[in-house]
Amino acid sequence: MGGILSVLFCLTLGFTIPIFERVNDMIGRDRTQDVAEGQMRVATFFASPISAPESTRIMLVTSIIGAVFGGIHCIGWNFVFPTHTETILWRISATVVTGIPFAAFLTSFMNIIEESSKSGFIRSFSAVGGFLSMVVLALGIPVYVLARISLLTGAFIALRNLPPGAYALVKWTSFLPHV
Amino acid sequence: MMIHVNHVLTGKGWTMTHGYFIQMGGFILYEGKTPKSVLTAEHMERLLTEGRILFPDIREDEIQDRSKGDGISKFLVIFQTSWFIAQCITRRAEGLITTELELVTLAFAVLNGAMYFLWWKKPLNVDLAVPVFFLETPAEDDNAAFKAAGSVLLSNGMDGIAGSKEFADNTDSPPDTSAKNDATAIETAVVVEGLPNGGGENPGSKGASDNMWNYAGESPVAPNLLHY
Repeated sequence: MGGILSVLFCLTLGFTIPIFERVNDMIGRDRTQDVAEGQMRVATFFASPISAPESTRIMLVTSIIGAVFGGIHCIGWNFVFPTHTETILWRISATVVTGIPFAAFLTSFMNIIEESSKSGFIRSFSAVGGFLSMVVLALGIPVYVLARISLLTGAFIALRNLPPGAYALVKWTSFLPHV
Repeated sequence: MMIHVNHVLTGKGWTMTHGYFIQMGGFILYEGKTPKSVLTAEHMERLLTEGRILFPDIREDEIQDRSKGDGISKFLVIFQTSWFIAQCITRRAEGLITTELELVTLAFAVLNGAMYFLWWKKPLNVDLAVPVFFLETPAEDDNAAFKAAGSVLLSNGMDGIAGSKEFADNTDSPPDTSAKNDATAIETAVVVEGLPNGGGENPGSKGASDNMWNYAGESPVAPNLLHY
């Protein structure tokens, strides 16, 4: 019995550890930016090292995409949910999922303003603004993860009690010209 | 938004596909017939300025030929996701109820669109690397322009542009064919070793960016390859 359990335990570990390793790759620890002497293959999430200004610009673009992604969830603001709690949960999560990438956008945007502006006032203003949004971003990342989980779960459990209209199909034939 | 176009590399016929390819580890350094290591942009740049390798002038369609993605696979995915997006829009227009799950899927479909846009030129699932051969005697002529350009692959834009004219002058000279023939002969026989963890330990790692956004990741060099 103990033998079977330990085999099962090792098997599960064997399957789960690589998953965590990939997460580790994604967040940029060690292997993603360096290639050792004699290494024949780059890491799965390998990316050439880039300068800080370039990284800021990449963050600017990706955060806009992230905010659009979150913004689509906000379309569901007035959707019908089985319970009131779920409605509230959806609204909070949609706000978080849009807001955190927006904080990332502000951080990078303020950063770019700060480095390119000549006016002292604008520079200090964007420095403060950039710092504040970075604080929001840093604190918000775990909240973002929770919000994403909540949205996905919410979307699935809402299926248990759909309004009848959800089953209606688009009548594509009605778009054909007809008499 | 500043986007640097590396004129030296584009002048040599390199495209965005080449940029993706080197980042994917598509070039492997060979000493004779022995594979030494995968080439990063920095390493290749150093070898080029030292004249230790010839410029790997593989064509874009040669790289794309190694890609397992093609027009049909891209068309199918794009058609399917666009169809889904169109359905969501018409449901809305027709006044039908959209479920939350459809909304989440819509968000992923849009994300997918962004991915396809950004990765349009990226080769998919390449198995064979392109060998780049280490030269015992530095090839002076071929790489003169790289020396003149200073930092070619990793420049911050301006020095790359300054070197572009010299490149145009250099392209007419007959290429050194000896090493190249060697390359095509071995090219088909080279298989990238499947080391799942990228070779395990990495003694040279600096642990530069622990940050998810790579925000504070100050790196000493700035490869321009990907910024076309």
